[in-house]
Amino acid sequence: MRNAMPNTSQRLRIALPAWGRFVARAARALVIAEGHPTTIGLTVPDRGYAAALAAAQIVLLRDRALPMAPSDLDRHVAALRALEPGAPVEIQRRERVVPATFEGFSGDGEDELMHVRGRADAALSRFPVRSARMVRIADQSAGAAAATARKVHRPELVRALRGDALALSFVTTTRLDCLIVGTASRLQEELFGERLFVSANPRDEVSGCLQDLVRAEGCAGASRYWRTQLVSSASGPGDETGALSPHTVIFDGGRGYVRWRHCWPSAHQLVVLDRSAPSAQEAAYEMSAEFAGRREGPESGALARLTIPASLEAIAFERAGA
Amino acid sequence: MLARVSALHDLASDWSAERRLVEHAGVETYSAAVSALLKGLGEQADEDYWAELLRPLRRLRWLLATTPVPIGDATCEVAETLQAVVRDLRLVRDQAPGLARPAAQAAEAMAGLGDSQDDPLGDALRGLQLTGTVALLLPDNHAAARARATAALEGAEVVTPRELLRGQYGTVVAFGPTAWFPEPVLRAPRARRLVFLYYGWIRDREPQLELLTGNQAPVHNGLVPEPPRSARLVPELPDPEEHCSPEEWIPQIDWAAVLRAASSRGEQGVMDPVHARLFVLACGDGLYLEERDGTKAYVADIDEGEVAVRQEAVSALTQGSFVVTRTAGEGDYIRELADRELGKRARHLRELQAGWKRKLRDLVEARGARAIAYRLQAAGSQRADESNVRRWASAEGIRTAHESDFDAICSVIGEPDPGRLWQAMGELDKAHKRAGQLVRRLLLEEIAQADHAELLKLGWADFDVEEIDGEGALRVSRIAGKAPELTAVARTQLRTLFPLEAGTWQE
Repeated sequence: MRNAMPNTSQRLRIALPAWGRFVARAARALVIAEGHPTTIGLTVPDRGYAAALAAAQIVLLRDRALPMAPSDLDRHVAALRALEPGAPVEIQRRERVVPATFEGFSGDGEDELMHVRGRADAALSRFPVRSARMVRIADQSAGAAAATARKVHRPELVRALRGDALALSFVTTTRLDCLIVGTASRLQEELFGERLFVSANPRDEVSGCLQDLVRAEGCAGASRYWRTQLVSSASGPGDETGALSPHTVIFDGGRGYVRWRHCWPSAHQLVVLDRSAPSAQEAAYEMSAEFAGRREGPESGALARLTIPASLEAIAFERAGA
Repeated sequence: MLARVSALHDLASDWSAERRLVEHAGVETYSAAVSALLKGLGEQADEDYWAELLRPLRRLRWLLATTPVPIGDATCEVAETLQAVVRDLRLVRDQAPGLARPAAQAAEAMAGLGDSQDDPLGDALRGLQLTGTVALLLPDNHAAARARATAALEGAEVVTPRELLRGQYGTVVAFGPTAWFPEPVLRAPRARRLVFLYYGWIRDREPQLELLTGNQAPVHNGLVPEPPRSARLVPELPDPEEHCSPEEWIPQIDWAAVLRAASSRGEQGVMDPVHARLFVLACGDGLYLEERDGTKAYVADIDEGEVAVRQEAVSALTQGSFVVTRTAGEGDYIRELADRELGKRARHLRELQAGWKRKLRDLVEARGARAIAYRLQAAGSQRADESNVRRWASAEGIRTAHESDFDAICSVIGEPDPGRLWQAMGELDKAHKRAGQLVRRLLLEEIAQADHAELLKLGWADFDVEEIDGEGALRVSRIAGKAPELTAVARTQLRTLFPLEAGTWQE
């Protein structure tokens, strides 16, 4: 994100502006926050792109910090051990995901291997257990579609930022890193509306859109594997979404914060209030009340050492009772 | 789009705003006379007699401060106002001798202003020597409409605060002190330069730019402190510090007059009146909504660029909410839609509904709600109390929430087959719910396709939803005011728009 370069209509690349860099840094502060759930509140003259940029940063940093956490690996291996021989799985071969059948484990300790046979070519592959993420249990609900090899599209922006191997894992795994409560149509416009370059060099054409990084479920490119969910601030979360445990919830606008902030009590919160919207006032009152009852700690909290641009307000605090 | 957002952040980082004070002896004399009348009357100013006199005087003061045209122009309505109040102003010497002087001053000042070709606000505007894209900002829709209709301002972009926040300009010239505009005008500036033009005797306030308690760095504040007046053209007038707070100028709804006008159209001596809240809408209509027992109304939420139509408790409706009503025909369009869906069966079900309601209402009228509540409790109802009994007997509502209460009612009114009636009312209830969902969906589609700008500009818009035919369109209108107290009105007056006489509220 630090190097992301939005273009302009004249095809001139401009560096991410100061406010955008600050939003990304605030998001980073939540990714590395320790202890109690933290709220960062921002007020901006227009809330455009703030939530999308923050979500991209959160997903990217979470993937860097926890590409596949050991606990996840253990859980995944345990799930594979529970499979019957012959169970359908999928294996990664370069940039393709191919259907296969699981045949079992051999050896033990660090030499333990998994045996998987490709369904089309019947070739037997052996994977060390530490590479278990190369093997996925097939999605039974996908039916016939799952039995066909498919090419996985790894956006060049992701490949540039995460490297080839990790990019494949990034786009073929699901984890709820971020949940955005806002206006779906507006967010989608932002996720796809702007081309981001990784370099200011005009000869470097590597680019992509925010959705490549945010991976919002249901939006193009993230129908099956995703990292972010969108919740309408008007209708709120359904029972299923309300029961999720996202790492961070971004409230894109005051209305969602006022109505749904009680959901996901253990998540960090990034609240973006648009100072031009009437809802900002009420949301600011609510946040001030939360701030007044915050946990004791250093006043600047998660935003310590960050220079706040003159166009926005920012507060950070650990929530009491969360 | 990212470039636009960045440009707005840039504006927010280095905007500047200045206040330019405008002087005019005649307007100041008139304003001082009105202020003296208000101050002299104190709380009596709210009494009907004085309110009737003061309303046009205050309105003229507002027009003079927000209409950048020559004072004698018909748009300012000086001559019209003088004609309307001159007799009453003369009578002040008899009604309140202590106020005879300001009353005479007001009349005299108006007589002078009526012929005046002076254009203090227009001159100040021209003196700014503006370049680039310029927007003229007026405090409300009415003032903006007047400015747009003014030939002298032809070609200028006239905006209200809501419209301003959707655009971006080089310079914004606002007519009035900062206190007359909502905070977002300065909290989210849409121009690098803002100029507030207003009369020198109005005292502005310092706006509260910060929203967050505990904000870790001050947000940019480019507002220059209010300058001192260069000269007082009428030094003998009292010190404006004492009487010219900016809020005093802003048009207020005269609720006594509005309620009086509203009640004059109602049915007199109605049986079983309901207590309802009167709302004044931006479209100029009034609307009564029952407030008790969590009654809900449809509202359109158009904040934050998204349109949402949802139900909101009437008690929670506030000034600025957009309420959905119907322009003609029965206010209850949900009932009509439900009936259409039920087809021929609707008539039978409505007869059943009216039947048990009528029997219960007859009993309540004959014995009183409290006595009937006791009888219902004895018959097994757990929720029967005076308030619920009245609600159950009212024409609204289809059946009780719990079957045990309904059984008790059937037992008391002598209904032979409670189970069958409960089921029939359930059918009606489901049709109502489906109709509600349909209206919500259709309206949402219609509003989403429509131009929000018009709705925001005028404060109201009509939507002809094809599927909801019959009389009248659905009207979405901003609530301009909410009556401070409930009024007893006939049930038939609920949820039906009615025009408010022009002038019963100031704008």
